[in-house]
Amino acid sequence: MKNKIAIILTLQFIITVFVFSGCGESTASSNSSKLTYCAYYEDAICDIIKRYNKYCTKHYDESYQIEIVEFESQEEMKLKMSTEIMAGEGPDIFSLSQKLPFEKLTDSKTIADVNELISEFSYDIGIDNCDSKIMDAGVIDGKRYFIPLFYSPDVFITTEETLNKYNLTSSEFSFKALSEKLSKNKKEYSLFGSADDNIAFFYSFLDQYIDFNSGNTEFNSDKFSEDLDSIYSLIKNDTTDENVYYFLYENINNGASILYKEMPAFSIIVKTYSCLKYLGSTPVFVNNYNMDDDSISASIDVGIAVNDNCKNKEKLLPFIKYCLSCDVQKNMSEECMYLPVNSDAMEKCIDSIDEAIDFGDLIVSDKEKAIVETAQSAAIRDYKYIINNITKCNLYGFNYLSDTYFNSSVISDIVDKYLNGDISKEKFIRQLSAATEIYLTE
Amino acid sequence: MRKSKLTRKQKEHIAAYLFILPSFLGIAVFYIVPYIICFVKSLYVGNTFVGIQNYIQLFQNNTFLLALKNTGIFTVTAIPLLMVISFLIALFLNSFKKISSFFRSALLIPVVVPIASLVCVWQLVFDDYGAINGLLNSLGFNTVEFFNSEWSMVMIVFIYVWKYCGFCVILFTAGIANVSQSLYESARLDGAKAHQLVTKITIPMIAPTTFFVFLMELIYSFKIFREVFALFGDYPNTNVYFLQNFINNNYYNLNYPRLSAASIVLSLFIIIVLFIFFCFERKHSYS
Repeated sequence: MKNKIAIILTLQFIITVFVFSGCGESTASSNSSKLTYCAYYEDAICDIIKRYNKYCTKHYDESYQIEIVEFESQEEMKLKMSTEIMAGEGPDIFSLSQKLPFEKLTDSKTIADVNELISEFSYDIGIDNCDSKIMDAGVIDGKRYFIPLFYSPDVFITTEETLNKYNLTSSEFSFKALSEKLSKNKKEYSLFGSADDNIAFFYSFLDQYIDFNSGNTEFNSDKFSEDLDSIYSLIKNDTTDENVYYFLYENINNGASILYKEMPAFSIIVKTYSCLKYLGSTPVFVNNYNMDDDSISASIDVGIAVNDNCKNKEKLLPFIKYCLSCDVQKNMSEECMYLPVNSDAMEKCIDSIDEAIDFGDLIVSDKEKAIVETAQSAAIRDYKYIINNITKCNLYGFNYLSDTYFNSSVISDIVDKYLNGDISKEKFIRQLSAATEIYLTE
Repeated sequence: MRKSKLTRKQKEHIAAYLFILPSFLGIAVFYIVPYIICFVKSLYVGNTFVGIQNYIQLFQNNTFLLALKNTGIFTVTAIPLLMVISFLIALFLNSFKKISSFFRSALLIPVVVPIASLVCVWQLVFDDYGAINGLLNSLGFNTVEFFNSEWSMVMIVFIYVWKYCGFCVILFTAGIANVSQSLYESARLDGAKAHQLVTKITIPMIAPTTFFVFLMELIYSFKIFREVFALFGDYPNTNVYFLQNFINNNYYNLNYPRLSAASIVLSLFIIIVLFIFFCFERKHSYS
């Protein structure tokens, strides 16, 4: 009898050990009062957090600091975060560059409404100093779920000379016209100088026809069907060589690539413009594909959201205020090459363009310097016009479009099959519509 | 020497409970507690208690209703079809006992072959340029898009019947073999015809087997998600979007309130179906 009881107790012990030994490293802070953020590489938010932690030691106390929980890979991070969120925990801050289904997280109220937090703790985070058109991208059904920090207009740089080769001008540019001209030319070309940009461009085209908030799609419209032919043709006939490193200036100047997606910071744009002008070209902006032909859109490059499971929400507001403050926005904009959402920071960035640009040995004469100065003022004028006329802002940046949850997990297989020619256009539209509608409504 | 105050019976009870305890702990930790947590989660959105709001929203959700409809259609179509076909094959094999062992073994092959291998074969068979469409085209018919039309459901039902038929045949054959031959002989003496032997003796006498087969097939019908997932991915066309797809996708989408509510509804659905069948079986079983 005693032996039996001993065996049973041993078994019980083994089961108990197995049951409770499954808990690995948590995304919660090792110091429970600290806020947490998950990252698998040093992104812009990690940079801000490091600055903020130093700032906290001077202005607040250490409990306001944010701990960065590091992971080896994106998949590992996502798996851990998902498990923690399911258990009603998880990191306190999300980044829009993390591959999470944000449309669904807002549905399930996993993300907190920042406006609600502001009124609950009577704390001003400085949203009024920011560009409202960009900030409104984070508002869904009247609730501010996302806080954009940096953004970029959806425009590409090209030159009039490149467009003239295809009998096009920047004022009459359209992707449909470009596609027709390229099809007639039957010459080799590279659209962006990068196959990854081609895919991002295709996803940006598809995402235009989806309203993630209302759950409606327009994949069955004639416009989509018509424009899909043009975009498909542009990408399908592209002959970008992955083994070739494409230089922006040389290629655009030589016509080896047609468009270029440049980093959006004012200093970078002005530098590119000036260099192109210096090399004898006429740089111009063309809009990314847009459903409403004349409108200019933008997209959020860096943005954050707050986990509703956060136990110290009042400590998050000073961090958001810090992120949106003029100095941080200006400094980070210059370092990360994005456009700041803070209006004062934007003005300061424009004012300091002269300091930011170092042409090195490029300028050799006063004449050439004059050319560059003219180009600078043209760039500032053109870019300001674009920024001032942005009509809408998307939640995901162009460079991250292939990596968003929807694009990478829901429609990537269908898109790959279509772009590889495995399925017909009609089948592609049917499968795309079905998958999107199910994802948006389930 | 100190005497134990417990009686022999009490000691036996304690020993019995201790024997049950490991299993009970396992079931409690892995099934009962998660089920309770799942139910509690289904009453919350974020950190806010919403009562049955998630359930109401679930039944207002068109995608959930679509999944429910497809699962219902599949269960109602595939299970009876499989049972009828396997019962008929079992009857047939029972009449030819010399070759029945070979066929029984052959019919079991689909059950043991790994899903991944089967999926490759089905893709070759049902693809737009696959074997079936090749045959149809050669006979002058148009190509049938098995992977992207209402035919997808037919394909899944066919795959299900093909895969599990052998297993059911074995069970039915065993059930039929256990029916006493004297019953058939008495019936024949009374002038019963072949179809009467089947309907009046075989079917009632193998009711427990039929119940067991139904139970197993109900469980397997929910496992068909593996094949659907392997063939169509996370987001199949609307004709083969099942409840398991809905639950699986909501898991990946981190929509836990909806996932929990759907899981509870699905479990209740299974419990109710099984309860009805248990009652039916108890009432009608000859044994």
